[in-house]
Amino acid sequence: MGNAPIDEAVAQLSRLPGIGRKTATRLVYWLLRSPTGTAATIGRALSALEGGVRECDTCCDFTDQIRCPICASGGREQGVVCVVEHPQDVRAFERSAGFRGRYHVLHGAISPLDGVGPAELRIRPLLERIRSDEIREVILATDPDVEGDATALYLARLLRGVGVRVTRIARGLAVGTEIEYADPASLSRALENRQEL
Amino acid sequence: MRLQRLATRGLRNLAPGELHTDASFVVFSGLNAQGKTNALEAIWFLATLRPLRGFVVRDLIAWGEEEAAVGGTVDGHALKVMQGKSRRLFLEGQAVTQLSQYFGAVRAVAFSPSDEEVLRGEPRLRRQWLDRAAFTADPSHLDLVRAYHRALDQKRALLRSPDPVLLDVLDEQLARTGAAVAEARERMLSALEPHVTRYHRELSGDQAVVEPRYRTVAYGRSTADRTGALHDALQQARAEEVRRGMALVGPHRDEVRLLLDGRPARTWASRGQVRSLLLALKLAELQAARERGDAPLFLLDDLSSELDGDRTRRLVSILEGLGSQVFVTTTDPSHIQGLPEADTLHFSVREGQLSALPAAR
Repeated sequence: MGNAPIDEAVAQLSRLPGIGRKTATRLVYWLLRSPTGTAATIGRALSALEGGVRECDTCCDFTDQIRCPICASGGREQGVVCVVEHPQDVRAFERSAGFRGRYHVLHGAISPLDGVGPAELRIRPLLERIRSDEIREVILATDPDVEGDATALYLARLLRGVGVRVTRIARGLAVGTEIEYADPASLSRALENRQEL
Repeated sequence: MRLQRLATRGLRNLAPGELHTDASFVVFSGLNAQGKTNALEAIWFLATLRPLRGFVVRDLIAWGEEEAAVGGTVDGHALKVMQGKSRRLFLEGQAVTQLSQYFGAVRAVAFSPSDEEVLRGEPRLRRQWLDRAAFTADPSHLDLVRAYHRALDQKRALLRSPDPVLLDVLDEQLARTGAAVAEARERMLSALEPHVTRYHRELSGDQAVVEPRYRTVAYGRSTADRTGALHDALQQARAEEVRRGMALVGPHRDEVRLLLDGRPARTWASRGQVRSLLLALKLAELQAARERGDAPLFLLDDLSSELDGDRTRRLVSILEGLGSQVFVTTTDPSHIQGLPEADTLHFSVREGQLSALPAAR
């Protein structure tokens, strides 16, 4: 006990979300047993996050460029913007491969309980973007919880009279769900959000 | 709905073990402080994930144990809840992530002498009782109430430094979810109303008319009307709410009233009337469930202290008609008269040990 570098590494790793002291200790001992250079490689990758990663000038997603690859790509539909809470949500939409427009990342949702108001989110860059670009439709794809809904309603109000179509993603049944086993909340939402055939 | 098997480990003072409970009536008898009510506690926890009595979930875990586990088979479906620092749920051996999926498999209604507070105590307790009943009827009511309270907490935080546009947004959310909460509560009360007077009369011989009443600002014929009414009320209260920093309007302030011959039972009913009224409300809840084609488990704590022999017999015959599986605790099983013995299981409870008693006594 009392090994300063080990204690420090454990203390730093346990600052990460979801990692307690126990897990941090296990990770540190794993690193110590790993081939020489493993810890240094991981360390360099982590250092590169600072300074190397910034927010895209257009959509505020994380990138190492001035504009992220999606915003820079000529192959994406320019007129449709999908607004999400987190960079991870962009990855999720991209995995689905169904969306050809571009994104805007708010970096959170409105939550007065957590001290997050509109000023803490990337709302101003979104408004500037809508004013200057040829945007026809804004899809509000914030989470379907109280905070995500509040954020969507707030944005919808801001965008009233701006001359863009504002839509909210539908909520309902998960793909692969059998009606019989669906939970009542999802079922009633699916019914509410039914579509014309 | 039938609980066929119950297994517990690390719950209160109950010895770890498994019971076969496949009968219409299941009686737990024993002296006080032996663990009778803990048997009901286990079933209630399995069905609702909440403690039956006034304590917190942590208190369900036995002294010196890290975790309490309750498992059961309900209509052939295996359910299990494990409660340590966090809670894990299983349905047919698979981890459950969606609460509503779990609650789809089991429902329960309970009556215990401490429920008297529901009638006598502060209005919040009556709203909670009604929300519980609406949840038993439709588990998605829980999501609705939670969403409403979350939006309410957000608004309370916002009222400390109000942004008018954001307040509009939160009030819009509150109007929408609040109207749905009020509507579900009122629907529940209307489903109870036709039965509660009859059951109260049958149990007490009291001829009084019982009228459950719900008073809300979110009134109207349709959900849209209710949303509109609540929205208007919120707009009108805005200045006052901002001035006082409080959320003053909405279903979190609605009133559930029970009138006995036109007078509020809260202040006018005698102790005996309060008890039979509460029991009548629970029976009405079971009857309303029956009309929906459902039969929740019914947990009846300390029956012997409630009713005399004649009334117990009447209660048993009402329960037989309702078709719910009934779990009863009593200090003396001979108090409960008229049980269909061929369809009744008896357990004695002693120092947390549950043992099956021979059927014919």
